[in-house]
Amino acid sequence: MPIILTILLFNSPLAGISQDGGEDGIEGVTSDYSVALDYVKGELSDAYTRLHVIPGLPSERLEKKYILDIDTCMDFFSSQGAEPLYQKLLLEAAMYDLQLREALASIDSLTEGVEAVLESFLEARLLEALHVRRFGSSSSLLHLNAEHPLQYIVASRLLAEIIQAQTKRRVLPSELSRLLGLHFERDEIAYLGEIFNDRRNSKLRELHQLFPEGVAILIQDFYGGWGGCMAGGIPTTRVFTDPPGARIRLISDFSSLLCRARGLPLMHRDCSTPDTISDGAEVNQGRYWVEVRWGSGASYCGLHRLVSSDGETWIKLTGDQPCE
Amino acid sequence: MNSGLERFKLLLSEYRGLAAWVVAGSAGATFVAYFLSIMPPYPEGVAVLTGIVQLLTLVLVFHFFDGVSKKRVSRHLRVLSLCLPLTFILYFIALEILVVKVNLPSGSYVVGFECTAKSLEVFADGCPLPGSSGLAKVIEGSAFSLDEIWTLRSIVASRIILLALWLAFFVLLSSLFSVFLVYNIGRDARR
Repeated sequence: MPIILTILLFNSPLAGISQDGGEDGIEGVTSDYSVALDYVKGELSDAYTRLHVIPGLPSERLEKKYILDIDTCMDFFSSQGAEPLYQKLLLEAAMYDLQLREALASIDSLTEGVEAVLESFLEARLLEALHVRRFGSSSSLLHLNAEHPLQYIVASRLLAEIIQAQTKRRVLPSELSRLLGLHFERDEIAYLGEIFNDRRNSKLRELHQLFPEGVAILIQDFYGGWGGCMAGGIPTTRVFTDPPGARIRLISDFSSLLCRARGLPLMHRDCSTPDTISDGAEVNQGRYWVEVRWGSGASYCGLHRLVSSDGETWIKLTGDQPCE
Repeated sequence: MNSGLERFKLLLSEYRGLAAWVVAGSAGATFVAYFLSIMPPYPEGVAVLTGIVQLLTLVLVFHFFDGVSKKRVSRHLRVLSLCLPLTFILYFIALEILVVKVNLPSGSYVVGFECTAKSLEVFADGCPLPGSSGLAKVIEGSAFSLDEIWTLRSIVASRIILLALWLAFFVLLSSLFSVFLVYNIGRDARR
């Protein structure tokens, strides 16, 4: 039976959910998040007595900073039976959510649209948690603020846009911009906002209707290359496989033409140096011959554009053979 | 009588006023946006570099043209008026030929004009030269490794040509304005 693959642009985190049973997965996580949020809120009610706080800070600041002892909180989650890293992410999401709401409450004339964006933040955090559950060893996801996944960046900038539009301020309040960990760049908002939209969820549902069982999905997710590349920098993207763990080899279309011109096989070392990448690795955008091999022995080979500006375009891949 | 530095500051102020008039007279933001859109894609910070070059031009013009005769000023203005549009046309041609726009946030790429040995093997019909069609597709096919297709020295040369023409245009433009201003400021001061 041919393996059916699909490239879905900008959609990797939700694809992670699919393995856990479609939308049931996110419902489960949302429930976990609610537990985390309730727990954090409960603990904050008497932060001094029950939670460890960093000594030396003025007490009035401590109340607002929500500085929690992660170990204490993780003990709580362990008692709930969750995986440690996953618990930590949920907890951080809950703490961050509270901090963000606090910061927003201090901004005057901020009314419309904020709730929706906060939901986006929540979703971004939860998707990260799902990522960790799926790619448990991915060190880049250990620190939420160290590397900004797309959803987080988009949500941050959408929030910044709303705040700036409603308050007519050119600069975000420092407390908030520090919390968001981003510099507001208006030029990038429109593009990012375009990518991050509600259609993503419906596309995922559509995908699962098309291939209800045993679907193997190759996902291409825009990752980096925003600023700084106006002077001819190389835009990058990330490639994920589902089922995860496949080995991916890429050679540029240019190299493939060179092989053909020399009468050599596609990935022969005398004409090309295939990039062998692991699941989730970052690659230059471009047009490639893509070879995917799963541990089960299934494989796929085909020529595809790994160009994220295609937005939500899906490319259905068919076949069951490696590149020669 | 104003000191030399004060008169230079006056020149700067007048130059800024004249430049502002140009912007306002050509629908302001549209004019600026147009120039931003045709700016060379390399190097980054070319706008700052352009500003520095303009300032340098003003300094030199102020130094060498202060107190010169009307006849000499007129001769220079005539030459500059002729060279300015020519330079702009040359730049525009170079921009159209050497810069390829791609449908990505990374925008534009400066291509080379000398193919690598690999590229000559691949493209049996001939090296993809600047200005030929389908260059964006060729670049995408190389995964944006332009030096696979064109030699690095030709890419660098293209970048330099573009930058040189761009800066030359602004040198001429600011020379034209400043020669005119220096002469008229000096004439007012002499009265």
